[in-house]
Parts: sequence; C-alpha cells; structure tokens
Amino acid sequence: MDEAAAPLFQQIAQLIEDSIVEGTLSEGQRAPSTNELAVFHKINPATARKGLTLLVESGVLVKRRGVGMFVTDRAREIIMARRREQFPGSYLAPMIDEALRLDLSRAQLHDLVDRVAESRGLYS
Amino acid sequence: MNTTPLIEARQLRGRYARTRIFDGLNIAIQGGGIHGLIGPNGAGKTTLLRAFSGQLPHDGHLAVWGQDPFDNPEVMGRIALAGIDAPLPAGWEAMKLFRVAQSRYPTWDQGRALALLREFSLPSYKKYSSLSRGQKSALGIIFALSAGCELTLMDEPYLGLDVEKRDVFYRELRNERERRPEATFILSTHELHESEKLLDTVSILHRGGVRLGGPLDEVLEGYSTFLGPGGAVRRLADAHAPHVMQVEELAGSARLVLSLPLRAVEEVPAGVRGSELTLEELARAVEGEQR
Repeated sequence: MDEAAAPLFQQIAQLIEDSIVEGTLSEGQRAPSTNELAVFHKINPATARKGLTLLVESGVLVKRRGVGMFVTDRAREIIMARRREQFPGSYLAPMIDEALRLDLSRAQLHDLVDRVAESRGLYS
Repeated sequence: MNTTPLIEARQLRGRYARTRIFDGLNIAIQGGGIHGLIGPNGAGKTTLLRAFSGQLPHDGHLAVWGQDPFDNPEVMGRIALAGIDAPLPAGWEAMKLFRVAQSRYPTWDQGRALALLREFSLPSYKKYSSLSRGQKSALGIIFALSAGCELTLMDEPYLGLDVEKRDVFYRELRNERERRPEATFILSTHELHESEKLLDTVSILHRGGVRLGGPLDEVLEGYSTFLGPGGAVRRLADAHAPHVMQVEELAGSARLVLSLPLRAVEEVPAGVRGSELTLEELARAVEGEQR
C-alpha cells in the first residue's frame, strides 16, 4: 500500500485512526483541532478540516459545540470493523495480483504468508 | 574535493551594527556550483557574505583564493555581491549601473545585461531609489549575473520578486551555472522549498557556527523522519536514542527526526511511515535542536 499516494486529508484521518487503534488517543479524549493539525502537518486548515469531517461522518469523532472534537465511545470498534471489511480488497488483492505475476504456487504463497505472519508475531 | 577550498574561514569573528554575530566560525566552501547559505534571521548570513566580498573588516582567519579579501582590490575585482542589504547608489538608473560595472569588471557582459533587463521587464531609465522592492532585487540579480565573476555572492536575491520573476531568476541562475561550470555562486536563502531543487552544496548556520554542510544530496541522506501513532514512534525513538534530533507530538500522533539515513533505520513499526527530510525540514530540525 502506497499511503503517500492517498489524498492528504485521508492520510490525516488515517493517522488519527492509527492512534486510536494503538490506544495513544483513547475514547472520550479530545481529538486534535483543525488548527493544531494544520500547524503540525504544515497544511491548509481546510485540508485538516476535511480529514476531521471524514472521521465525524464515520462516527469516530463527535463534535461538541464550542469545545472541540472528541473520540466517540465506539471509535475503535468502528475503525476495526471497517478496516476488517476493507482488508481483502486493500491488502490481499494487491498481494495476490503480485503473486500471480511472479508465478507463485498455492503452496508457496501459503507457506510465505505463514512464515511472515510468524516472524511478525501473529501466532505467538 | 581535496583541493584548497575557494573560501576558508577559521575562528572568524564578525559584528553587525555592533552586535557580535559569530564568534569563532569555521567554514570551508569548495569552488564550483551553487552553494546555499542557510540559517535563521540574525544568524550572520549577510555579515558573512559581506566579509567574503571584502567589504567588512574581520578578526580571525579568512581567505578567498588564499588571500585576505578585506579591501583587497585583486580579490574584490573577481567578486560580485548583490542583495537588498548591498544597495546600489540611489540616483543611478540601470544604464548608469551597467556603464560603471563595465569599467569595473573586465568580464562584464553588456549583451547579457540588456537581455536580462528585458527578461525582468525592468525600465532602463528609472532611478534605483524609485524602483519597487522587487525591481531593486531584479536589478541586483542582473548586475550579479552579468558581471561574469568567478565568485558571485547573492544575499536573498529574490526578495519582493513575483512568482514569474522568481522563475526567471532560478532559470537564469541555472543557465549561468551550465555556461560557466567553474564559477561559484553563493546564495543566502530562506526559500528552502525552491532552492532545494537548485543548490549543489549547503552550509547550515546555527548559533554562530556552521552546524552542518556539504553536497546537498549527501547532507539530506544523513537524516530521516517518521510519522505515525505516538506509541510506535516513541518505541522507534527509544531504539535510536543517540540519534534523536526532534520529537513532536500531537494528540496521539508523533513525528520523529533521526540523524540516521533512512536505510539504516531497521524494524520500523507497522503504521509508521519513514521518509527522507526536505531541506526545509532539516533546517527546522537543526533550529529546534536542544543540544
């Protein structure tokens, strides 16, 4: 996945989601403001706002008038569910396509997946 | 690279308006190509360029072509200095400037000066003092590029230039480098985004000294930056603690700058994206350094 190719506002949204998944930004906490994001990433506030709006629309953040944006109680659950749903299309399909181009057999592919998964600690 | 540098300063001390700007600065600049002098306001870029050009007395060792440039006509005749802090006489119009420059510099190219005058759409009859800021900058650039000197010093030469004229400047400077590969151009600049595509070598000034320098691509290759969720970035920072230059955090996300080449940083956690630094990011990281 070439994240650099995604539009900037999506990258901003993804980074906030990653922090929620990791737990460094937890449910009920205040999310970064449009202005804070603009300063931190040196981007236009409108781009930052677009990223935040994306997260509000998907139910990850909620706007509290005059106070700011906050992480919703179900934020992590929502992100995980959506990413699980997108996992085959976003990650597996490009991998299989490349395996196809490289003439990898079914057994070779399964073996590789197992080995990488093990080295990354998936089975431990 | 092992030849004598074109410019060499050791333990250089200089002042500007009675304020000490640098106290024991060491710098060596090799000849050829375009060199960028980078640093925050007040770092001494203007003072340094004026010292190189022989217009400023100094303490400590300074040599250009192996000689002390101060008030040294032999050295000064091979150097052109332009910039907003090196103003031209108020009553001169472009044609008068060209006449004087022609008699001062045997290498002066009158045809080039006239062509550049048209490129920058500059009036030839207006007095320097009644030109706009951008026009003053343009005239300085024309003077510097037409003088044909072995060493051309340009102090933030683009100030006030509009987008189109800035493009003309960068294009003409590139042409000049191609035409005269042995000539040296030193540019003090804050336009790091634009000049990153132009500079061959850089010196980054910080706290009265040269913090780092060398060929731009080699300098930039020595650093890397990482952006990702705060916990993962912090783990990466801990694993490379001696090389951490900068950590910035924002509500669960973090950015890290390491003084390590990107390829030398192993075991980057998932979700953390690494990239090389831009010149602008490097200058900012140097500026923010606590050490």
